[in-house]
Amino acid sequence: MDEDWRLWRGQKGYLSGATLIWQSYKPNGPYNDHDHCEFCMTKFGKGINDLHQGYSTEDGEVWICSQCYSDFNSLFGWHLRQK
Amino acid sequence: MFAYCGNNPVNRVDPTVEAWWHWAIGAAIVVGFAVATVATCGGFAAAALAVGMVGSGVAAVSTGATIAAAGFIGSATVLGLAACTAAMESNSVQEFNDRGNWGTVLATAVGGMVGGAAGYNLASSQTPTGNEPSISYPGNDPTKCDISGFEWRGSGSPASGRGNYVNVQTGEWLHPDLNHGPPIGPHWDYGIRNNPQTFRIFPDGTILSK
Repeated sequence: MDEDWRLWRGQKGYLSGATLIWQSYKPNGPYNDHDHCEFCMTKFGKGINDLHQGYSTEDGEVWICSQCYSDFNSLFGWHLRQK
Repeated sequence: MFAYCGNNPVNRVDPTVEAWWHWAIGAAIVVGFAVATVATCGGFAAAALAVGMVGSGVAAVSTGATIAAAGFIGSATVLGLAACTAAMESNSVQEFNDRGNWGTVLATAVGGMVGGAAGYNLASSQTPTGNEPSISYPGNDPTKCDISGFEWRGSGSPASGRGNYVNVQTGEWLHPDLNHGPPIGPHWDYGIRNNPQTFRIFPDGTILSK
């Protein structure tokens, strides 16, 4: 699994065991209009081709798409919290 | 136009000449922020430009100028709304004046402070801290990285956006974000492996923490 290009950034060092929330996307800053999945870089935003829902950390700084959540949940041991 | 004074702005005045000063204090607060904006920007034209920039979500030339301009916008907005509301609800100058009170003054001051705080946040988000990495702008073509040592890792071509340019020797990664809307605008995201801290690299070479 470590060979997967999506893990190249070393996310295990700061996302292992993290608590995630499934919710509608909202920018993580007042001057931001989109974000990217922390693994595959797919875009979250308001555009027609953007993702509109996903898993975010509790502070809303990191967003993860459904596919990457599914692929890496067991590896990272994430905890899912209801909003 | 002169409904607030019964359409007789010449003869219908405040007979007590006492009720107007709450409005005057509010106006003084707004003027104070305006003077601060001119002083921090170095002139009237630069101050006007700063107000326009801050109103559009872009930081002015300095943190102080951004705070002052945002404070001016906040206080002027609150006082202006209060004055318009009072004018519409008044039939005379005295009635208009009487609608000014300490609440008007306080609201104007709070508007200025809230605006100033927002200006500080705006400036902080767009001002280098000195801890930014040293790396050049990778270019305006998202399908290639102009910095040597980086190779594409992703699912599909660089044009898909699903991936990063990585430097396997240094652990650095870059991701083109050249269609980002204002006020942030086009940039490249930059980071280093195992570190959640990311930065934005702008076409003019400016690097800001994300």
